[in-house]
Amino acid sequence: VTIPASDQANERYVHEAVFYESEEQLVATTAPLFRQALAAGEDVVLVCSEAHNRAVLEALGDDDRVLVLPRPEIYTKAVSAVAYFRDFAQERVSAGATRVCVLGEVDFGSDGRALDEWRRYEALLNHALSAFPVWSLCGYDTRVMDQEVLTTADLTHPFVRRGGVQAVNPVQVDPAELLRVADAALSPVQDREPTMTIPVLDLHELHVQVKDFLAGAGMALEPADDFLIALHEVAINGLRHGEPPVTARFWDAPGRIECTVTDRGVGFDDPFAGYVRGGGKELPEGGFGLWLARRLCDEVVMGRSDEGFTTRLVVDL
Amino acid sequence: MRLRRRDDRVVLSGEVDFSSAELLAEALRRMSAPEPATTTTTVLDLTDLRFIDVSGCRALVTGTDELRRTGGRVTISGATGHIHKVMTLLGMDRIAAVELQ
Repeated sequence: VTIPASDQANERYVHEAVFYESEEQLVATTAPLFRQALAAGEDVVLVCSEAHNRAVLEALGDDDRVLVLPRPEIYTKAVSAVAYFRDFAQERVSAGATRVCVLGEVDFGSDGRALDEWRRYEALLNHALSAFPVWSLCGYDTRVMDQEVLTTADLTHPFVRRGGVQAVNPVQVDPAELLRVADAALSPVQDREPTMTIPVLDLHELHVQVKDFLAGAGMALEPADDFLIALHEVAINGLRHGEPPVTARFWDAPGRIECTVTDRGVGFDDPFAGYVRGGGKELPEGGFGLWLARRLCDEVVMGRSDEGFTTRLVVDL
Repeated sequence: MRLRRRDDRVVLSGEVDFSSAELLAEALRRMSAPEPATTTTTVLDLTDLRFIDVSGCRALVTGTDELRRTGGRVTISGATGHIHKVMTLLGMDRIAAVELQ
């Protein structure tokens, strides 16, 4: 099934993977769509490699309405990248934009955690931008990208465009399910004895001990404060919503600090929890602690275990 | 936690978390009651604030609700790098009639 571009304007969020084999094909595929968008008064935004930004811009006659965003600053981790585009879309809509068309070449790097982060990001976009008039075109170069990355693209986009032809993607997987899979790969099971174990009864006492521990591990003051507030909020969640006793465990691993907070309750199963900031012009109850933890830590994973419900926080040193 | 008036500013120091948040909100309501003779902008000085959690940040918002609803403004000043980052992530800079410096 092919969806004509003109019909998409009625949709809210459109999330589409664009597969291409060469720079020429990327330009030939996207430039006509953007010309049409610009003619309709819509925003066009590029977040690609420098070479591809330049090539697409040139094909659009260096139209100064086209905005180029700083790619390395955006694709740091899934939660931050999603927040960036959500805030950006909000800002553009407030400024009167009818639709925001974004061509992005996603890049979370190639280390061990990168693919999970990539999958999280693409899955989360469907959820986090669903209420915004945004058309995300995610560029995937089939010549240079790993098969695993291309598979990720196939699993996460409601629409795909191959050889310039758009189609509904028949193999897209429920984003919630993908997030669960990505989290399971990081399940909070530690095979070593913790460096430090603290029963969480008094948060002030927890602060004192954790500050000492982090200083001993060589963490600077501000990152230590960032980690402490994340831990504090997760511990409060355990005390308020979980079953006692609540236990915090710490591992001083090479290059990273790992920590788990476990309560004896059944916890909850919401793979989207804490990925999107609520609020707006007020600061209502609920959800902000986990949001802070996700923004301030390098990894936040939750899950049920034999012991109860565990949240794992990791920060890189 | 300590909250006091110093000249035209309201100075919050020490540590604020969920156990002291309600107290803070109540104290702010009393202290930031608009006085026609003074300026309509209340400066919250956080220079000596060492720790604040989500509940504490919420108390800064709810404790100044009345003040902001009646035309007053709140300027948050002196927040350390860490606290400023937390407040930005919570969207304190987007709250109506609040300026995060």
